[in-house]
Amino acid sequence: MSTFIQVAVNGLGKGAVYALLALGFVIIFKASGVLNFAHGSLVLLGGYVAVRTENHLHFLGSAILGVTAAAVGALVIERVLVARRPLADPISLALLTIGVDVVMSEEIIRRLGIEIPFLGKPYDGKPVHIGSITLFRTQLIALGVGAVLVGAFFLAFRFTGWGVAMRAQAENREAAALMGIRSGRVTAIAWVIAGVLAGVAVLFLATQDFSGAGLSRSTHAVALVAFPAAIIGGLDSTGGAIVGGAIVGLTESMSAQYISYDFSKIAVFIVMLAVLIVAPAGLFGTRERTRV
Amino acid sequence: MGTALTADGLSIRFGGVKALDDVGFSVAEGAIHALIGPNGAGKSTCFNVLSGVYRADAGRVELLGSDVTGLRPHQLAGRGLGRSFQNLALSPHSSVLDNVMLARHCRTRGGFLAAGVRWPGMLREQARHRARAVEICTFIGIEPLLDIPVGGLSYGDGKRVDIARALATEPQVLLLDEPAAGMHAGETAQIAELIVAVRAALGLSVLLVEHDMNLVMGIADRITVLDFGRVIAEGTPAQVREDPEVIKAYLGEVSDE
Amino acid sequence: MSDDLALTDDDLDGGPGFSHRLSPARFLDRTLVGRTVILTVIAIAVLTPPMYLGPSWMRVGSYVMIGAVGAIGLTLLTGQAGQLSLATPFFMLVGAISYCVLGSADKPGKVGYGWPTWLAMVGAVLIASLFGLAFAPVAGRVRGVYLGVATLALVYVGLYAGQRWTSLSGGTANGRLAPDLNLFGITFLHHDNREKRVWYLFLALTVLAYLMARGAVRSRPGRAWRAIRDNESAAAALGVSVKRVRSEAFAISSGYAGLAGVMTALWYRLMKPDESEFVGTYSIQVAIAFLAMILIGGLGSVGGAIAGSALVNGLPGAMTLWIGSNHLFGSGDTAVTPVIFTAYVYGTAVVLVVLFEPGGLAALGRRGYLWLHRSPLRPYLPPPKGN
Repeated sequence: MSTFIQVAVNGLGKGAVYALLALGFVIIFKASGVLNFAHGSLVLLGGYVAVRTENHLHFLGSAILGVTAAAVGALVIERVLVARRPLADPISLALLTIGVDVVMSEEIIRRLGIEIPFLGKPYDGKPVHIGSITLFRTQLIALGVGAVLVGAFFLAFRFTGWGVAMRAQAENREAAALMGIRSGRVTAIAWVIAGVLAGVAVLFLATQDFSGAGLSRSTHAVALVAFPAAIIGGLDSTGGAIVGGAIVGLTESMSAQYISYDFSKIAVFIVMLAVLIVAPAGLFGTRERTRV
Repeated sequence: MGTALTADGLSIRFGGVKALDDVGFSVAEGAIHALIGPNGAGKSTCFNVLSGVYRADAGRVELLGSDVTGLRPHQLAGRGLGRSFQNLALSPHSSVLDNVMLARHCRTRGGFLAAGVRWPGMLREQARHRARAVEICTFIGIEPLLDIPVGGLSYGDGKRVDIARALATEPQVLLLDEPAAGMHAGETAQIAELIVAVRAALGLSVLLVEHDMNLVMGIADRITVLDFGRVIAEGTPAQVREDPEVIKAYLGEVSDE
Repeated sequence: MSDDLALTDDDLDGGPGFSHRLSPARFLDRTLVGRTVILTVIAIAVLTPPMYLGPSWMRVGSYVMIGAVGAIGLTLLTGQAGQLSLATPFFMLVGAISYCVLGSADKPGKVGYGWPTWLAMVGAVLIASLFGLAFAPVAGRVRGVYLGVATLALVYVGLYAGQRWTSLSGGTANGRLAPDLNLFGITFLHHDNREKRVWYLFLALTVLAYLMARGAVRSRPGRAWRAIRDNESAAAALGVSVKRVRSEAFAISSGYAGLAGVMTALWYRLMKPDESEFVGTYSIQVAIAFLAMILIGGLGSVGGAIAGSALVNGLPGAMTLWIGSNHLFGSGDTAVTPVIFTAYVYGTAVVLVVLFEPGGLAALGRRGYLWLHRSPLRPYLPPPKGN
């Protein structure tokens, strides 16, 4: 039983991190209609800046810088590239982000060289004991931070001017523009928020507790796991992203524990395929009614 | 004269809205039948049910004597139902001829292997069908445009390509989705002439969904009027024009171009 | 001379795609000359390198041809039929494993059926096609970018299968030897001049792949694919069974990928599954590289796919040979290697293509060809074609 609780909490903690990434995807998708393959690069960018500034500032300072870097990176991608082709079809835009991802990630990984630095020093590898249960501190803090950020996001989404504008734009771009909503600004803010979430996520991803690997190519690959999380929830559902993240996190830990570590990687994708076959637009995504 | 297409008791609901409520009418063989109604009346929905895009919650559709309720679009095409599209739905980078030739797909055979090795039997069949496609295009009047990519054509020419493509499926019943949409009076008159000519030359039955009253009153043999998903009137153009229910439903929406 | 020009003016100014038209006999004669010249030049370009280039260059060229075959398959699926797919490496893996399993002798710990290897190659392509066919219904349920991520799942499935079913795959540590191909008595892998033999073999396979794809694109299958890409509802209303056309596209594309997998096994002389999902012969990185190839070449263009492969698969090897070392700029662990440099090049190229020339190299090539048409060479050049 105690193993189960450990695995479940661990899974939820991981799920929180995946949820942050998935939420970022969904926000970008709602704002620009793009599946952002460059998200992994934003994760790497945030992590890289955090690592490089670690010796000069303490953890919090470098973390903030890393998050800022990821946010700026997202903004640059959106303003310089995506904004230029607003009418392109989704596949072309997705390929555009793939191109950006290739260049960015190769450059950052090259600069790291053979270093595989770990982030999250204040909490990594410092387990928490509650009775007979041992929990990863990283995952616990991720849960907490994730809850706060997600909560803040949903409040903003509901109650701020930006949130209303985003929802309007996602529903009907033209009408929103005609109503005076500045699409460029709304979209830019959306990408910045996604960048922030990615920058926070990396602080938990590149730890011993979470992935066993430091900042490296595998961090970029782990970020890919956020895709199924967003898809399971539905690419245009912010709430779905949270649910998707939780499902993915739990699937990963449970299957790693009860089946095998190798299987845990594909378990997530198998769950995604199963969900897609039953609900082609994700659990909470909007469906098309026409048949062919 | 028999009926080419019959709708019987069609009902469909989207969420809380009943888009079609017990809609029924018949298109006589060889007739031009129009389906009209104010915005939101359910004309497009009805059209989509008849062409197999939506599945009605209740009711029957009969095509050329057989029950085709619930059949999918490509099955209906195989049974003699052709349709045009309001937004043209053409492949912009392909030539006009290429687009029209698509309609011959279900009448030709030959997959990847035959095409890849350029099997002579397949090439001969392609040539035969190409000739027929060119014939149809010439009749429609777009023969000079055959090799031009569709994306570069004017809207009016694109509409003709769409109709040529629908005709290339050799249908017996033709559904036209707002053929005069986006056209001015001169172009509308041309489309009207074309529909009448097509009906005369090929003996088709035509059902058109349309907003433009001039077109409808000009060429339709019979008209069915929808409002709020229900049939509120049916008859000849003269009858429908005088019908108080119809006048009430439209109240000022008659286009006077 | 001026007679010909007058005639050709009428014929050529209408735009691309008029190969349907009958041309006057004189016009044909000249373009026949032109066509022959072009073909001869191409033939010389691809048949003679083994005579003057060394084995290392042969290997680079062969590697480009592997990419070309896989990219042609992908451009048919994603470019012509509009189905975004990241699963090319998975079908390559299926092809490679199937070839080894079918063509090797049975040994303890490694399953083999001992078929004649040419039959094993055909079998491998068919098996890969069947896997593609099996996946097609998923593509029926799932659209657009969702499909892209769904296909990503297959790469993970392949990774796991390769790790677990070691009796088939040989395991990630050692893999299994690829059986030598025996075509009409000619073998390839165990000779001193194996690089040359492999070059000609791959050339034949690539030419076959190219010709078949081009034939399909220009005729009935290609039309159906483009129809489901551009407007599925219209295609269905015109009598095209979208489900069937989509399945066919997947089957063909995965067959091509399977062939590329067999070629990979022959090139390495070894079939070894990857240890991780992001780096390796059958990894996500490879999937992305293939997408880059077809985008840079021009989505849907068969010739463009080959050009794309020349860039993405050819540049690293070519650069390494040209420079004579593995470090372009810098040194040590953070050096810019040819592989990294190529990644910069194709990543940037992808961005530039999407932003400025969506038709890719194919569109640039078409424009260049039209420009040539305005030159005195006009009567000798075959008319430009569309799509």
